[in-house]
Amino acid sequence: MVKCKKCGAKAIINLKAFKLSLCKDCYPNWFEERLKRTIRKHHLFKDGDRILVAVSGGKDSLSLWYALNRLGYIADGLYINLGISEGNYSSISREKCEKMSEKLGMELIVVDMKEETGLSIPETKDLRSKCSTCGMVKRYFMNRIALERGYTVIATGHNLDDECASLLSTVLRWELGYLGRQDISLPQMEGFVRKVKPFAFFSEKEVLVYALTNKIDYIYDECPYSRSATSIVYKEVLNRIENRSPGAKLRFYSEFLKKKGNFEHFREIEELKRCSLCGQPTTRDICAFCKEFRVKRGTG
Amino acid sequence: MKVKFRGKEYEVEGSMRVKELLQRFDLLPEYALVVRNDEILTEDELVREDDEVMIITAISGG
Repeated sequence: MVKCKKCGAKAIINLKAFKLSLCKDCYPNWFEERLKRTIRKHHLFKDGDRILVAVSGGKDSLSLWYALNRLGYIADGLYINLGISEGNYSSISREKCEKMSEKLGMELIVVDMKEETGLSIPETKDLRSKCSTCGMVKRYFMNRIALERGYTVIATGHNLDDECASLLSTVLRWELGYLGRQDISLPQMEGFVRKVKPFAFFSEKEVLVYALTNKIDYIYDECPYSRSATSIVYKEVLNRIENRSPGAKLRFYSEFLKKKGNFEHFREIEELKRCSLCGQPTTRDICAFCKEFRVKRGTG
Repeated sequence: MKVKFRGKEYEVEGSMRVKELLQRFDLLPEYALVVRNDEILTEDELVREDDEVMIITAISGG
């Protein structure tokens, strides 16, 4: 039996990258201490910040909301109802977010995509790919709601596997401009609320074990549209490398952050304007959101 | 043993270590874990013929 390195009880996880085995009681403390250090080291939150956590009902975002609360941060949640009816995906995920909101005693803001745009994600047949539309819709509402409600920072549940998959995807295409942009924290700019990823150094499994040890009630099923996502292939490849070389994902990401300054000059700095239809920041006259949901559908 | 995985139930013969069980489902311990009676098992633990376990994967897309 593998024993907990801190107290000697039966271990539930063997963190090979850290050469550390922990039990069900010591693991959440280790996780929260590491989260605290990450937030401090990367200056993710400032005094007086009003935090909005983007929640989907999945393990990452609900664990983030829960963990920030445990660390004493006052943070509300934002849920975007995408109207995915397959397997009752959206209604179940919304219910999970509402339960967490009740448990934490924090407000959950709900935005309904169908009410706002006239379309749900399954109805966006003639638009770009579902995942790409979903990403754009989420980014738009996160920023708009945060600005309207006076939040100063948006926290998302992106984890180490998400960040490494994104980095691998960028490197495979050598999109140097994107390399200059990827970070644990995206700064506040004119019309854009600051975004942070406090779980960026935690693997997907570490977050899963945190969710399970804290009995966080999350939606177990995956979004039906993400099952064939390329990011899953990248994550599997990265985990095969991790299996052979523990700590590989952490090195890949943390060394990138140390060296990302080398790519800064590849970033195309485009001038931001206000969308002529909604007023959100954009590099064009009309933002991508309005172009898809207003101009193409003739409602703009 | 009875193994629940992605909403389905499977019958697996014999006793084996968690990592071997994960291998049977073509999974790695880097992103998948086994739970028995609400308890997470480390990859070297033995799961026995009469156990009922659940495999949970951590990978999500999008």
